[in-house]
Amino acid sequence: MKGHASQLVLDELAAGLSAPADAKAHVDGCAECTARLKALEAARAAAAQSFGYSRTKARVTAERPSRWRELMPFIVPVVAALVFFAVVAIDWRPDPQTERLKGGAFVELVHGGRAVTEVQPGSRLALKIGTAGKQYALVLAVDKDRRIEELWSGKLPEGAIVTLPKELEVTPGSVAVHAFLGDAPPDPKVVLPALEQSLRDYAGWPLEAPPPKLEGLVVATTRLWVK
Amino acid sequence: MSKLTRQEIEELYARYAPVVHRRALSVVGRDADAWDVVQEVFERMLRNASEFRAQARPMTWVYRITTNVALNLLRSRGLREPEGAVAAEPAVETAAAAEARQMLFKLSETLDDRELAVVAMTVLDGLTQEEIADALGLSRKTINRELEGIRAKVVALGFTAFEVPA
Repeated sequence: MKGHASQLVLDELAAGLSAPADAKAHVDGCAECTARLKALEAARAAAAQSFGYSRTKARVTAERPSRWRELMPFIVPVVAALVFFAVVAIDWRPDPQTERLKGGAFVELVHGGRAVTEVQPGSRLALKIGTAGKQYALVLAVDKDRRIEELWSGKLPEGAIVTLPKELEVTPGSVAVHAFLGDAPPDPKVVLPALEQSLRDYAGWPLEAPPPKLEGLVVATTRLWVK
Repeated sequence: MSKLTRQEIEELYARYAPVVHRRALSVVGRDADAWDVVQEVFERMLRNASEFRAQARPMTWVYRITTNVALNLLRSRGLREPEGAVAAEPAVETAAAAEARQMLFKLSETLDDRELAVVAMTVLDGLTQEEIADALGLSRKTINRELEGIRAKVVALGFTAFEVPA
């Protein structure tokens, strides 16, 4: 061992622990280290007589509550608050929009934040769709002369109720609006002939004609009376 | 964790409490604070009884935890009290210890926890690099590298008394 024993070695020896053999041998043969060790032992004895030693010992050796018991004062209020929140604060009634979606898809024409069915020409409208979980839409308008116009087609934005990113300008003449919704893009080559056939088959006013039923597609309809 | 009996706790206390107190006092400078450190160190020892029992050289564990707890106390006290108020009780502190403690206090604003522990073990305990490595569970090479970096920082802060141990 080089030099004198370190404080660590002396602390180990004073505490009655085993120290590295060469260090112990050095201390035994070194007057300076022996003196330091004796001083350390005297300091230990003095510390053990102090008030702080006894007081801290009493705290350290005191009967310890279990971890759960220690935490109980914190856990109880938290659990109570959670129960209160679950029972009282949460409104368990179904969301009206969710409920509405369960009834099927819908299409609305929106002006100033409200769904409208009567507007003046020149008004600008947005298309609002209840997607019923479908991802794609083809929205068609039918006028009194049985002419069909595509208003929008494509992938729907994410969400149960979405507003399409296209504004429509109202032209003279009332229309029926049919939104065909599907898990895949509705094919105009299938939808348009089917709609034309429905219009031909319907003897009444064209805007009243029911849309065709097509496999894999859900249809929602609204009507817009243009004054 | 296997729970210690009251007798085991008393034996551990008799063996280690004086060491913890002396080391804590050299860092925090006040007797009452040093006993608070003793209590905290023993709380940790009892919570981690299995880990403590597994130590090949338990005194190094005691050194490490004592240093950490005492330096934490020194830091938190430094935040609460202006520098002048951190003077120790004269009866319990030598001039060299006071100087070392003041240096630690200043360095606690700059060095990270590990660097500060290395400084404490160097200036307060005079440990060798091998012993510091043992106490901190690091390689001697890492400690050597760390000490060189620390010395540069310490000198830059105006303390010239810091010597890298063998």
